Amino acid sequence: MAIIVNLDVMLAKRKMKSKDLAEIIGITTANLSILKSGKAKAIRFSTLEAICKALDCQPADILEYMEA
Amino acid sequence: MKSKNILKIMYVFAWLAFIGLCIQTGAIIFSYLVSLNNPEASKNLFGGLNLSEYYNYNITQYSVIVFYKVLLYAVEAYIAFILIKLLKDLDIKNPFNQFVSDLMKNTSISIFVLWIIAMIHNTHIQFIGKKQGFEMELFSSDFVFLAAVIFIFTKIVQRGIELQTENDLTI
Repeated sequence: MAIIVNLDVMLAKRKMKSKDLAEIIGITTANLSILKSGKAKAIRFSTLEAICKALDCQPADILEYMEA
Repeated sequence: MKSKNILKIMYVFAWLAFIGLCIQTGAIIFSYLVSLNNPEASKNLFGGLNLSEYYNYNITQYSVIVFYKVLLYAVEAYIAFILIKLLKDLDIKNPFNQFVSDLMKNTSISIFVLWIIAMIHNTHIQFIGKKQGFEMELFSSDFVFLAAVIFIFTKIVQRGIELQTENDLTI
């Protein structure tokens, strides 16, 4: 997919575990894993907002467009 | 709860139809084999099915007509079997899945095949029947519309599966 999810990079920068982030934003680790692996078809604004709040970052830090 | 009960009743009916059609198919094959040695059996193959005129006319034609009938009932039994499988494994909470879609597609194809066999059977019977002035017992062929309707439903289910997958993968 042309949209790359850089959640791993942001988690590493913030030294946070996936499990902790999943707990903070209120989704399951399985769903977070789907998001990280790029298998997700869509992301809700509410989820994006929660991730940005938890990681103290902008949506552009997590999502990146790359021409396929 | 109500739809669950209806599905349970339908499941029982599907089993009854399947068993009935299997018996019918088996009985016709058995009667046919008996009729090869005893022509009297061709007067009542199963449930009053009288093909003695065709037997006396030509044994090959008689055999071909019996073959059509066996094939028709066998395909009908297969459709009943698909229905049994569908009703047995149908998850009413999550009905849009590939399994249901595949079974619906199979049903639609089987009904279409049934229609083709029925058309060949009817044409053959009419050809001989009119020529020789025999009694003609034709197979209804209106159910081709049913195949089309089920095919359209299959397409709807497939779209449902796509939407379900998209929904499941929305985080």
